[in-house]
Amino acid sequence: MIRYVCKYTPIELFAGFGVSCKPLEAMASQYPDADRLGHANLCGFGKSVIQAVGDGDAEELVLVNCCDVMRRVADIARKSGKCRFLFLLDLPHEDIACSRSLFVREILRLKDAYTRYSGKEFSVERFLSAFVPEKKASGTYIGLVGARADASLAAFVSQKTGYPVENHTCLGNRFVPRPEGTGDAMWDAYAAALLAQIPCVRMDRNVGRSALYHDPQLAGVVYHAMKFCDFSQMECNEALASCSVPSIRIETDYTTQSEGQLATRLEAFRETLDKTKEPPMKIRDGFVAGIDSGSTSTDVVVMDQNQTIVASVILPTGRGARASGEEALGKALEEAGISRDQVARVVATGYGRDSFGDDQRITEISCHAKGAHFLDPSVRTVIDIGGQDSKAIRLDEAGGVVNFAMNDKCAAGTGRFLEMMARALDMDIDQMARMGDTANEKIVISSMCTVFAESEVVSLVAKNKDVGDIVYALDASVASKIAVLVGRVGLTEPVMLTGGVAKNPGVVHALERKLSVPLAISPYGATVRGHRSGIVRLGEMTGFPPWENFSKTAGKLFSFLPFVIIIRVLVAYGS
Amino acid sequence: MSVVDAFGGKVGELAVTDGQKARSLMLLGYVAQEFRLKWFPDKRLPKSKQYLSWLIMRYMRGVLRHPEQSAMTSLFIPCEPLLSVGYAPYSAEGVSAFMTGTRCQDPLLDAADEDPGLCSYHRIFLGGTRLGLLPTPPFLLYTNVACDANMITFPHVSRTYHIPRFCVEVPYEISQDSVRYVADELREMVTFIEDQTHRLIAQDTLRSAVNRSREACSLYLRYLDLVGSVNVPGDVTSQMYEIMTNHMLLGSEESLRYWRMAVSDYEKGKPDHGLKLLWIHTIPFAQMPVRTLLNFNPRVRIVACEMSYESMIAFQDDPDPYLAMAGRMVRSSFCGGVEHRVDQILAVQKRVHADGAVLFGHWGCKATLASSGMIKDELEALGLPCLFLDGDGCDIHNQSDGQTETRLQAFVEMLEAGK
Repeated sequence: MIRYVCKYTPIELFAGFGVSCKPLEAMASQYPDADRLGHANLCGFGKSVIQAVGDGDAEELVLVNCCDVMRRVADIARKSGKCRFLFLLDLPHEDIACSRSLFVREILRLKDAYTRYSGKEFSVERFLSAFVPEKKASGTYIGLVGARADASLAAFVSQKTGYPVENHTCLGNRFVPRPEGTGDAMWDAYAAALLAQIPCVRMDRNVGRSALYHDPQLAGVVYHAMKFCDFSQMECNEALASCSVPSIRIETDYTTQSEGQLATRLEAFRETLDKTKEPPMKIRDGFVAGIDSGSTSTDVVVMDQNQTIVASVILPTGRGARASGEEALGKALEEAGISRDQVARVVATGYGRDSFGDDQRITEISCHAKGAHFLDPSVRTVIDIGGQDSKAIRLDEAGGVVNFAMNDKCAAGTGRFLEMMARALDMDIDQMARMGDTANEKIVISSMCTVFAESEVVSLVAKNKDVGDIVYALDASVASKIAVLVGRVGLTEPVMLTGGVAKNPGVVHALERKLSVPLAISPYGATVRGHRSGIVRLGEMTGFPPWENFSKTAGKLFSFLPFVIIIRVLVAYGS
Repeated sequence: MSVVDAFGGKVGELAVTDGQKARSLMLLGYVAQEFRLKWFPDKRLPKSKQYLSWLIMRYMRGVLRHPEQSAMTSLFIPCEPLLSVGYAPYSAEGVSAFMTGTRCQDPLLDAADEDPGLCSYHRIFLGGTRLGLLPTPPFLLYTNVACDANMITFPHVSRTYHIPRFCVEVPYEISQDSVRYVADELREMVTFIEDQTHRLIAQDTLRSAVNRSREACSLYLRYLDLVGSVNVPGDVTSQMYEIMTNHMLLGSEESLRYWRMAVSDYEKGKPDHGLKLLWIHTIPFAQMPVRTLLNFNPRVRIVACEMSYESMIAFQDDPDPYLAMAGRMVRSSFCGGVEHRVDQILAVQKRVHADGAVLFGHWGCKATLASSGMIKDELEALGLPCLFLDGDGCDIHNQSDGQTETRLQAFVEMLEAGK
C-alpha cells in the first residue's frame, strides 16, 4: 500500500504495478514526536507525516517536494529507517515545456525505483485502466481552497456552512485524463496531464487557481491558511480579493484543536451566505432572554416585549458554559421576578452558545453587526476586542455582514493578551488602562505571539525601561494585530470599537494612530479620546453600570459591549 | 541610543509616511558613511576588510540610487550575465540585511505582516517595497534555491508591481543532468536579460565574468585553507559582506580584488590558537550579544560561514560558462537532501578545522529548522560539537539577547574546556 500526499503523485503508475494507493493526510490532535524530530515551527501537516512515519503508518511512501518542509520530512523519514520504500518526487513549480520534460524524467525514475524495490512487473493495460472520469459538482457549493484540508476539515466546513464542499486543496479536485499514445508519447502526455491540473497553492502561476473563483455554481470560498504554511498565508489576501462571491479565511495549525474558533467563523459565514432569513418572531406576551456565553464571562439580559431591560446578570464562565449560563439565567429571572415559563424565547451567542439546548443560537459576529448597526446605522466597520477573540467586521448599509476576520488561536491582540502583560508588569488591568497614553522612549513589542511578547516585557523590565513606555508599546502591539484583521476585511469608515478593551484609552489611541481614523465607541459617535462620556452614556442607555463601578476583575472588563449586543439580538429576534 | 539607531529610527519613521523621502534620507546617510569608510575606515580591520566595508556601502548606494540600472534578484542567482551588461544585481536578501544594519527594519516588517512565519529577510524586502523605501527595478530574476520564500515573495512582487520576471528552477537531484537542465534555463535567462535591457551579452564578456568568478572561488578556497591557522582581526559584519562578494558581486573585478587582498592579509597573518567556529546558515550580525562575543575577539572567531561558501565549496569550472554557473546552483549546500548539506559542511571543515559549529535556526526558515536536529546529530557523531541557536537574522522580536548570549557563551566555555 503506497501512501501519498499530493495530487501530482502519479498514482495510476502504481495501478500499473497492481498496487493500491492511499492518501496520507489525516489530522490528529497532536504530534508528540514531530517537534523532537523536526521543529516546532513546521506546519502541522509536515508534523503529521513525520508522526505517521514514526508510527509505522507509511512504510511505502511517495512524497513530493512541494515545499521546504516536505523536503526535510523526506530526510527525516529516510533517517528514521521506517520506510521500506521512500521516494521524493521532484515537482516543478510551473507547467511549461521544460518543466514537463523534467517531470517525465521524474515519473520514469519513480517507475524504475519501484520496479527495483518490488520486483513487480509494470503493465501498461493496468495503468491505462486506472484512469477515472472527472466528478463534476452539481448545484451550488463552497470552494475550500488554500492549504491542505483533510476530509474531516472539509466535512466540518460543509456541516457548519450548510453547503456541499468542493475541496480544492492539496489532494482535492484531482483529475487526470487518460493519456493518449504509446511509449514515450504516452509518458509525455501523462506528465502533461498531471501538471495541467488546477494548480495547488504552491505552484508558481495562479491563473488556474483564479479560475476557480469565477464558477457560477460557487456560493462562497473558504480559504484555509495553515500556520507556518507560507504559500497559503501569503496568497490568502490576494486570493480573497479576487473572489466575486462571499469569502472567508480560516486558519488552523492542522490539528483538530481549533473547532470552537472555526465553528464561530464558519457559522458566521453561513449567516452571511443565507439570504433567506426567518421572519422575526412576534412576541405578544412574555419575556425574552439573551445569553452571551463568552470565554471570560457569561452575561444574561432579560427584556420584556417593550424592549425594556428588566434584569441583567454577569458571571464568570469559569465553571463551564452551560452551568454558568443556567446560573446567570436563574439569577436574572430571580432579579426580574419571573419564572422560566414566562420566557418565550432564549437566544444564545458566544463560544458556549451550543450549550443551550434547541433555542435560538447566533454567532457573536452577527450579534456585533446587529448591535453596532442598531446603535449607529452609519457604522461600516466594527472592531471588537474581547477577552479571547478579536474581530473586524465590515457591514453594509443595512447592517449585514459583508466580510469579517478574527484572530487565530494565539491571544495576541486580545484582552487576554493585555491581562497577561499586566500580570508580567505586576499590575492589574485597570492600572494598565490608565497608563501608556504617551511614551518618552519608543519601544516595539512583538504583535505576533503572546508568549514572545511576555518574554520581551520581562526583558524590558530587567533593563529598567519605563513602565509607561512598555504599556505604550503593548498598546501599539495590540493595535498592530488588530490592523491586520482590519486590513483583511477592508477599512471603511465610520468605525466602531466594541468590547471591554474599548475602555482602555491607550489601546484606543494606539488603534487610531495605526488606522488613521477616529473610532466611535458610542451610538453618538464620540471617540474615547481622553474621556469616557460615551461609555457612561451607553451604560445609562443599557442600564449597565458606568466605568467607576466596574469590578476590577478582567472578566467584567471584557463584557461591556456584548451586553449591548444581546439587547440587539433580543430586539431582532424577540420583537 | 547610538547614531545608527537614531538614524535608522528616523528613516523607518519617515518610511511609514513617505517612502521616497525616507530613501533620500537613507541615501544621504549612505553617502556620508561611504565617505567615512573611504577616508576614515575602522583601523581595527585589515586592509581587505576596510576595502570590503567601503565596497559594499558603495554598491548598496548604487543600487538604491539607480534602480533603473539594476535587476531585482534572489541571492542565489548567478549574476555574471547582469554584470556583463552593466546592470547591478539588486538582491532582496542582501538589501534586507542592509536595512537591518541600518536599523530601520521594524516598520518594514510591519508593512508585510500577513505572514509572520515568513523569513524576515523576505518580509523586510516586501515591506520596504510596499512603503516605497526600496525601489522597484525594471525586472526580476529568481530561483527556488535556497528556500520557498523566493517562490512566494518574488512572484508576489512581480504581480503587484507588474515587473517582468524570470525563474531558474533548479531540480532536486544533484547530477550532471540537472546541471545541463539549469544551463539551458540560464541561456533562456540571458535572452530574457537581453530583451529587458536591450543590450546583447557577448559570449566573451560572459566568459570573462565567469573566469573572474572561478578565480575568486579559488582565492576563497585558499582563504579557507589559511583561516584555520591564522588570525586576522575581523567582525561579523564583514562575514555578512563576504556573502555579498560571493553572490551578487561574484564575477566582478571588485569581488576578485577583495579576495586577492583578503588572501594577502591572511598570508601575512599571525598564528592563532583561539577558538574557531564554523557558522551554519544566516548570521544575526546586528544582534548585540553576537557582536560582543565575535567582533575582534582573539578568544573566539568565525572561520567560515555557510552563506558564503554554499556555492563556492563545490565549484567546478567548465569551458561552457553556462554549465559553470549552473553547476554552482545545482551543487549549492541548500540543494538536495540534508546529507548533501552535511557533506559540504564537512568539506569546509577539512579546510578550516573549526572547534565547533553554530547552526543558526533563523526564524521562518523551515528548511534549516527542520533539518537542525539531523545536522547537529551528524556533526556531533563525526566529532564536531554543534550548537543549535534559535533566533532571527533581522527581526528583533524573534530574538532573545539574553538567551543568545547565554547559549553562545556556554558553548564557547564548553569548547574551551574540551580543548
